[in-house]
Amino acid sequence: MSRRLSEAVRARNEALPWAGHIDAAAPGFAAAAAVDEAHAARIRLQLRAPSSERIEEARFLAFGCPSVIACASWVAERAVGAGVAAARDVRAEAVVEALQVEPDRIYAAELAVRALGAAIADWEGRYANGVDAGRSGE
Amino acid sequence: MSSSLVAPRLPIYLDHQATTPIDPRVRAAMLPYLEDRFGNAASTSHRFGWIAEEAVEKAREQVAGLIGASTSEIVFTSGATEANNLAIVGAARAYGVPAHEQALVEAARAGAVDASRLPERLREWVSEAGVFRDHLVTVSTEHKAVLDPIAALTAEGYASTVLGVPESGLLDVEAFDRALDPQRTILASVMAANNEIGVLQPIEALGARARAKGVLFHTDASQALGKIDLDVRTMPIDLLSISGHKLYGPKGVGALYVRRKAPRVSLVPLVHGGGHERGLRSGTLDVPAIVGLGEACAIAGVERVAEGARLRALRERLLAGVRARLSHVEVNGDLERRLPGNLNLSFRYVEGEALIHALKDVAVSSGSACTSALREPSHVLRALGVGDDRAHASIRFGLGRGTTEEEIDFVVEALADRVTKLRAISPEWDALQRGPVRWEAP
Repeated sequence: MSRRLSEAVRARNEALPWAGHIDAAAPGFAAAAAVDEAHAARIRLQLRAPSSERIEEARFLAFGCPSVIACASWVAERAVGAGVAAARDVRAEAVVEALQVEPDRIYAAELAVRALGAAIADWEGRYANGVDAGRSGE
Repeated sequence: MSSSLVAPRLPIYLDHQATTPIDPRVRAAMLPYLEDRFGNAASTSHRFGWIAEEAVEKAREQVAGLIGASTSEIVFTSGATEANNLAIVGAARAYGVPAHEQALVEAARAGAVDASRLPERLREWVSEAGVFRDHLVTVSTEHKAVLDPIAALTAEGYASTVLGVPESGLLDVEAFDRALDPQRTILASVMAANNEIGVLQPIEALGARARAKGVLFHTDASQALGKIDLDVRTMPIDLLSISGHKLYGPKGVGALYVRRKAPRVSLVPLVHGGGHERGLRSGTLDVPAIVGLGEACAIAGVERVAEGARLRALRERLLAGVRARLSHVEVNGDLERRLPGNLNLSFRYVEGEALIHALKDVAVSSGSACTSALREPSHVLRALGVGDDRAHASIRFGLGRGTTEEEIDFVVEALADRVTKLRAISPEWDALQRGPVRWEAP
């Protein structure tokens, strides 16, 4: 089933901003994936933060309806430039509001936020003793 | 395949199994009946009514002519959904006895209930020792307009068997035969062509098995009529549902063929109030729509064979083009026994709705629907057992009378481009290329 989408969701599906990969060997690299089996949706999020002060780069891969793709893109964009702690505070409600996500697609925003949270958790696990002491790579 | 030099007009409509545009010839035939020929076909006292009645009877001849029926066997309805309901529910009520009524009859047989107080249609059962007819047979890939009335009857106390199909979507004739109980089964309903995967069921063989066991055979021919040969003179079909808007006619009109001889089929009407259509479907006839349906049938009768060959060639062009440009593409349902204008493909590692959105200049439909609670694969694809991932990646292409080679070539190029882009952001596709993904625990 397709549907009329909000302009914001449509635009992100056409341009696919922030889709792709980050070099896993880069210092401060972290990655995680989240899945919503009920909606057959998956998001993989990669980020690069040389310090906890600033996420320099974020990229996503996504399988799901246009709302899933748009939410993954928005979350990646929102993470870039933010500190790790601030990125952890991104809420699904903010995604829904920014993209005008339909009520029956709120799961897409929740999944994207979950993917971001998992990527941040991965970053924190890798670099608990500082980026120089941590491990990059997939 | 040579690439096209002519740019098609956008958007391109490839959803002809959902609905078809009204043929200009159909529209022209209808217009006078939306204007000065506005009479009620039931008005017998003046020329306005006579003109309308003549038009309805001409349309009845046109509809009957397309399937080899007599005019007295055609009942106009609001569409195929109503025709299916009239066939299934009407036959069940005419021939069957649901569980709670069986209990009443049994009580009367035992003398525990006064038989004269039973409804008239149950009284004859009291003196008969036979088994009650209460069973219906259908297939898991039927349209909801068949499955739902049978489910409703089951809730009323009738019994039903819903047969499965293999991955081809083709019903096994022997399995069908085994499901028919000559004493209990009232009716079997199997669609002539599937609306999602276009598969053509062997209705002649199925109807013969039903006939041999004294079971009524109904087919929903909404998708098949005008695309394949359907002749009730030679085919053992007792009831056949027709839709106007799948046949380049108007929406809101259809018909039910009801066999009058060998056997004569009886139905209990669902709509009362005037006795129109030989008492089977009361209500003022929609004369313009009926005229449109008749004209659509007349055109289909003339053009069916040539148009079928043209559509089959276009479908083969589409499939060959897609396969030449993309890997991991699967055909859903049997490719050979299929409507000429239907192709249902799964583009693995791409989600169907995302692809439909990306194909913004092409109108197609997907094989899954999303609700707030879950994403549900279509019941047809699920019945094929192809797996949810493949069902979520499916797209139905419905080619039709207006489809051109240029459009097909455009669609092939658009698919190659959009599928490649969506696969590039697909974690599954990425895993296929680079290695497995470590998923977060759900």
